[in-house]
Amino acid sequence: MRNCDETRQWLDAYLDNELDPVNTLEIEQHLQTCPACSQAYEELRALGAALSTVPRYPTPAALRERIHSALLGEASAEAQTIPFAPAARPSWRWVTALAAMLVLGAMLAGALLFSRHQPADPNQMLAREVIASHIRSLMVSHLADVASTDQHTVKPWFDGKLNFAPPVVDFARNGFPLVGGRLDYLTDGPIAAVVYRRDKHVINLFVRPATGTEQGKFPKTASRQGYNCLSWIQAGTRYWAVSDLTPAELQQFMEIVRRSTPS
Amino acid sequence: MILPHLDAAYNLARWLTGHDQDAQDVVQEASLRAFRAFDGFYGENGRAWLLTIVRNTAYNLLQKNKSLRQTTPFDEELHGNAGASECATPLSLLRGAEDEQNLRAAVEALPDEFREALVLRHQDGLSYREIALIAGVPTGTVMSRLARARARLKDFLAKGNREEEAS
Repeated sequence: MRNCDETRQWLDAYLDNELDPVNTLEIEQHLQTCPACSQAYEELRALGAALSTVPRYPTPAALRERIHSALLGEASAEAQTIPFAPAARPSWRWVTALAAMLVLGAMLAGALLFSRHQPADPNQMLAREVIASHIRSLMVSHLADVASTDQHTVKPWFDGKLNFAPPVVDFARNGFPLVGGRLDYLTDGPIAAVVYRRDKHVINLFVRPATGTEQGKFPKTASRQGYNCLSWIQAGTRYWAVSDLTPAELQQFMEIVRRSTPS
Repeated sequence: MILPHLDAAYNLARWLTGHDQDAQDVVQEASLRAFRAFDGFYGENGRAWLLTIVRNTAYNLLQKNKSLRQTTPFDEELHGNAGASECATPLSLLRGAEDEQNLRAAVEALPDEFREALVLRHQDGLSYREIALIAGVPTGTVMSRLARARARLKDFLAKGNREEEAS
């Protein structure tokens, strides 16, 4: 049997239904025989009941609306970043690192742009970006997210990571063996990078749907820091081939890619 | 994930900050933090998780505003156990508690950790374990906080009744 002090000590837990059955039973037995404790419990119960009837502060409708739209905005921003994450669950640290890299890249591009006082031609900007991406892919030993010479491994890997399906064909018999695939990002969206090799030279073939605003004469060539870039449009798809190969070899590569893809 | 618990979130923030605009700021910030951190959340209790973030955000704000805000420290002399318990009967208690504003004011006069325990227990119906999770303390501490909070409320209300009868 419990005494009053012990009972009072557990009275609140008893009220809150937080006691195990054995202790609950003992408290109940004591309350039945002790008028003082029974009154104390009655007070506590009345107070608890009164507290539970105090209504919540009502949530302001404007706040609810604000949060709803803020979360929608966050959700769509997140949906845009998911394709570049390596796994189904995007690691934010990874995304932050990527963002930092992009900012750095953009600053670099900006610095180059201003130092040379060149007009911001979108084609030149894109060429610069793909060349920068090519250099980066060689620098950080991150040439391929999926390293395989089998086109039937590389092509399915892109599924679900992009909203388009880049053509992936192994050109080993033409002297351009497939190395792998990688996801990358240009200022205007995600892009597939299909990686090929010619002897010891690496070729990044960047692929994404043509935006429709791309005008002018194709193929376009660009050259920076010893790298050559060749860009063309075929069947609604924009291609950039970047390498340290000579322009003539790059031209040859382009012809091979073009022939493999139905126009 | 967040929207179903918005009412509980705003209510807790409102009780802790004691101010509508502050509470709105807290809930908005906490919701975004909860959403962004959603990836790091693998538990099953989304409500407790969101309320934890709301609570921490509210305390951060209170800390920041401490110098600006006029705080009312809990006065043991005024609200302490100055022999009031004996006089409190269920009847007189209820008379004080019947008045919702009176009870609200009494809860508002309590220290933060007592107030949050009461609000989570009585308005959200959370278990000791959930409250412990949110407040970051052992469940035993939750039990003693609730017991002490109720004891203080009882004394506070009994005192109010006595003063009313005296005047």
